Amino acid sequence: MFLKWFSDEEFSASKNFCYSAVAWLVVGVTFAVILAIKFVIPDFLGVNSYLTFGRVRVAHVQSVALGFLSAGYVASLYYMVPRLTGVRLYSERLGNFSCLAFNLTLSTGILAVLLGYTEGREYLELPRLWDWLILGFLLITAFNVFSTIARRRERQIYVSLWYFMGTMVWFPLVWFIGNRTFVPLSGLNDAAVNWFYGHNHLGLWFTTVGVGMVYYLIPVITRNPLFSHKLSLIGFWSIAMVYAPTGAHHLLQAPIPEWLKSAAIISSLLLLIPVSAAVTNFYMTTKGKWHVVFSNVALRFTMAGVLFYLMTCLQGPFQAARPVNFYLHFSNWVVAHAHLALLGSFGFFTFGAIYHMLPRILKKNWYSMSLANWHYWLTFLGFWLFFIVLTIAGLQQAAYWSQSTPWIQVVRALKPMMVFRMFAGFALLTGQLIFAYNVVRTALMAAPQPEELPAGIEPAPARV
Amino acid sequence: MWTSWVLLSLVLILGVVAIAVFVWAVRFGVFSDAEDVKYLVLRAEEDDLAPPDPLPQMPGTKERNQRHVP
Repeated sequence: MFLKWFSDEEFSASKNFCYSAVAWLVVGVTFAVILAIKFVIPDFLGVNSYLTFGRVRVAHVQSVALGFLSAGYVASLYYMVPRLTGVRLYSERLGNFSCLAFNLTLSTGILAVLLGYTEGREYLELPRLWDWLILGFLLITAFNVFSTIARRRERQIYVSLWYFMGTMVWFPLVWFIGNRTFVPLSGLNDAAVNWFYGHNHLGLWFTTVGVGMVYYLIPVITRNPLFSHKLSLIGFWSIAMVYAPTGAHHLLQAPIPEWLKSAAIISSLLLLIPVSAAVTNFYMTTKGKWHVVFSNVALRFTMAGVLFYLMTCLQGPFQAARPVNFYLHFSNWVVAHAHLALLGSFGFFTFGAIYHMLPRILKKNWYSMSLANWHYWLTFLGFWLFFIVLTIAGLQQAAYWSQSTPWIQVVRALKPMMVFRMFAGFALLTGQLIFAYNVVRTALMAAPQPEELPAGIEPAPARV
Repeated sequence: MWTSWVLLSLVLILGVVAIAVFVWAVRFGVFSDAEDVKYLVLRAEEDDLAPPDPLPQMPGTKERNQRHVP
């Protein structure tokens, strides 16, 4: 009865998740800039407890990871799964209902965190009630995705669908386990479960949906068939086999069982198999069509994301090696690595997907391709500055700590890096504001006549 | 320590489920022509989508195969 209030229009759920992703992106990056300013001016925003660093950092992480990326991913699932199966989404109404519920849940959850209610566990800070609500959201999404795939018109299953199906089995389970919903834990036991979740959130949600999205976007935009579907399946099944135990590499200096650490290191190294399979396929599929990168902003974001994905996945096994981990752990290097994965890889994949999907859902071109290009370059260059600065800062920190340099001396030495980090944050925020403006103007723009609808791979700019 | 065993068990369960799905997919013929399916994505944005069916259908049913698009 309640669901009849929500639209049944084709791709309406995907569209609403796209809008949600953009809104959460602006919120999340605003929190990020507040944090970046606090690194330079610690008294910024006074001593108001609601806006202290510890609380704003959590609000930032949840806004971008759950808000921007996860909403963007669900938007992609609700667009790409019907496209690949040849049937409409099982229930647009259910999708729209889950979108509203997701936004209410996340808004109140972040408010709760800012008010000081937190579980105090990395990436799992939202209070317990919100754990259950988000689990419900994931199950609804899984139900909608699987119900659509069950009605598909094609017997064969394209690799993106394999990635999406795998994710919708794994991630609700990872969320359930990571949130300790099965039994309360303490101490190192809790840390082990926390990092089982922490890394699998990345590997069995952001990676698997993100790679599935790229397997869709590159062939569709370049009009080149995938280089090798067999290779892509090797990548999928190998990630299914080896990803789960990697989380313990976050605890190599902690007194957890040695075999658990070794299993994490070995599985981290084995991840090079699915990564090399995927990246080889992405680059070989683009062969002969690299010129499209210059004219199509969706492909440009996607291919930049592939570059960052490769870098992330080369850094990962390197950092999981015990001596490297001992040297770099807790330094800004790790912060740079985390942003390389979440913003550089998966954020860019999401931008690419939104730039591709939204004109086709709205059946009109982007308001301004010039603004889209500004968004790309501010985000790309802002991110590079941020990544390089934090990598250098991390190496500085690690070197100082290895020589037992007094802490305050390290803080003073890093201050120039924190200033650069702040300016990178300004560039990134400006880029996202431009993106949000472009999305709003596109949504509000009058629909074109049928003969003006976007056709082919490159929507022409409505206004340059 | 018991948590490690719980985690290890879960990891093994996930692995066994993955192997089971893989074996099911091989037996079902999903990988029988692993390369042809890559052309499907090129048609993804050209075809009109079919309206949803009134009743759920499980993969492999006769009716679904009749609707198979070559």
